[in-house]
Amino acid sequence: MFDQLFFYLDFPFVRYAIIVGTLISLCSSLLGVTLVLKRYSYIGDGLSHVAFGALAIAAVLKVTNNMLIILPVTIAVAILLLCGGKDARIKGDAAIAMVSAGALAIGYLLMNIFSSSANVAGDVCTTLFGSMSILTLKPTDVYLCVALSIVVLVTFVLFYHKIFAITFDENFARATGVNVTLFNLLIAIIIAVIIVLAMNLVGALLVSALVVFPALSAMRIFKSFFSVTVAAAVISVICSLAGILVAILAGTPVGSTIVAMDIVAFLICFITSS
Amino acid sequence: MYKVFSRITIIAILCIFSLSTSSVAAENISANHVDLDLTRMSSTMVYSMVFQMVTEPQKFVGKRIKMKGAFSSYYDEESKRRFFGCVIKDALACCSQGLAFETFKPRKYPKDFPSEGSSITIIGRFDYEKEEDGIGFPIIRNAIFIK
Amino acid sequence: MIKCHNLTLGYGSKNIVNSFNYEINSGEYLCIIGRNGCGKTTFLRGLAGVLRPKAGRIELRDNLRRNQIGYLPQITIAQKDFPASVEEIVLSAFQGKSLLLPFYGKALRKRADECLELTHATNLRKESFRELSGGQKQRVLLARALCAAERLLLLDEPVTGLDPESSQNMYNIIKDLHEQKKMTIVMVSHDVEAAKKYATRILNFNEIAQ
Repeated sequence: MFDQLFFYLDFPFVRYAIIVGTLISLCSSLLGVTLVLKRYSYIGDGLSHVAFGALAIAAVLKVTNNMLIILPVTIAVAILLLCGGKDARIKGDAAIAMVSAGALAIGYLLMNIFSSSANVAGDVCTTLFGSMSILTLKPTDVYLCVALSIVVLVTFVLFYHKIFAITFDENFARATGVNVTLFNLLIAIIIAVIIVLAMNLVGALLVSALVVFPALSAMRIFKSFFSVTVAAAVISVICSLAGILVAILAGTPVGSTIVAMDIVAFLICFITSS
Repeated sequence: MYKVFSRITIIAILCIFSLSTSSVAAENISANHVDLDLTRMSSTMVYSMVFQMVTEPQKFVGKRIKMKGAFSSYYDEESKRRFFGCVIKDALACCSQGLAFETFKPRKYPKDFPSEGSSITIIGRFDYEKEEDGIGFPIIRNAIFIK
Repeated sequence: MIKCHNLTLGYGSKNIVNSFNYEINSGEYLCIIGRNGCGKTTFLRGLAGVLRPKAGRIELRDNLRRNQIGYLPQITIAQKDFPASVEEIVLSAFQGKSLLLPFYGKALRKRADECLELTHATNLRKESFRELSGGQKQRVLLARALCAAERLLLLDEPVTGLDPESSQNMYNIIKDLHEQKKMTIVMVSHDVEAAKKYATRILNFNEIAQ
């Protein structure tokens, strides 16, 4: 088995997949803790569907670098959903459900009508479930993923305490003079970027699993915000690495294998904590 | 996954196949020597490898490839050519892509070929065929069928 | 200390506090009472600077600065099972002051310890917030408010949901802060008896709203 593994590791695209997969799962787990604690878990799901819709639009418009469309659209929707706050006319879960299903439907419709590919079902399938995406990254995708991940990580470390303060108590943070609106905006942007990146790793439909599971697992066992954050990151990276390796060795779809690993980790944490 | 769209022309359920017989015979096939044996890889790896071959063919040109897949053929009305291909599926079995191949010895279709969809294993030299319009496609030349 | 001029507060198109004029003096222990939904909490949020006035203004007098006001909001459902240590929560009070500091300095840690001591919560420092009792949670959040404040405390129903003993404990801590630390207290409460007992002034919001 190890021979086989080293044989595979000889191929650059396998190494790219491992590097990018590690970075993406690291970023998504860090912000996952905040999303879960702010009761925004489902926003990750909604945003990934929006990213899928944007992807379809990019395909229809035949944009060479589809990130130019996907990122701005997803960020814009993230800001609307996360920063609309109490004044939003259509509230909370209904807004997310609407945006999420709407984007999915429009995206699929556009791809069906305008796509010149003969394999629409296949294209949609890999985009939604991420069976192969991480192993079929082009070098430009790899650089972009690495650069964006590093930006997200640096931002998170720099503003860690601010993010904690806002996550724990937005009102109090505002009262002490923290620019809550600005940081909520920042969090929304980071989350959108992570969702778009994570779509590469596990596909649009499974993104929320990548975001939510490590955080929930860590919260079962650890008690301080710092230890939960670190544990979520460690769990997420281990699960993603294990998932990628199992997928290439056993020939299973990458996205669902990673999520299966996350579920196993959650069950272990659940059992040991109760 | 975005690449799926950028390479729409190449990755179709049926790949493009070639029956050009011009360059046959010229090559010396040293038995079953293989540079890249896809039959030893998991389905996830095979799919990813074929994707690499299709997107960056220049890296693979000249290598002897062994692969296993489903036989498929397709007649192109425009070029009046019949194309043959070895088609593989990804782990979810929703995406499939394949490589075109041309046989070592000229064969008659359909008499000398396996039936559509049956499993085949081929060995041949990877090449990249440029078409007049500039868009090319990868092809396995001088392919031999392996039992 | 604080003077409200024609203060109007509300959410969306709905006004909850209308053209309200009021003055809070230094050294007072003010209790705001009234039925649910009468606007007590909204008024406190306005004073705390969480909610922007829709009209009118809040004037800070006697050299009072925003960062001398401590605020104890009502505990939310999400906070009840929040994985955070007491220390992390209390230290987060300094986020309004220190910009971009990845670590808290010694001075801030010392101040946090002092505030925990004032609310009799020093022994809880390393505990996990979600495992504390209701009364302990409130004492920790009060310590956090103290960290952010030196002169004025705005307390939103600090004893709601607590058992009688914890409530009494909380009232005693607040009384000490008022009498010994000379802090001005503004408290929203449902407990009219306690308000009569401890407060130097009572504001009945039922009469003001609508």
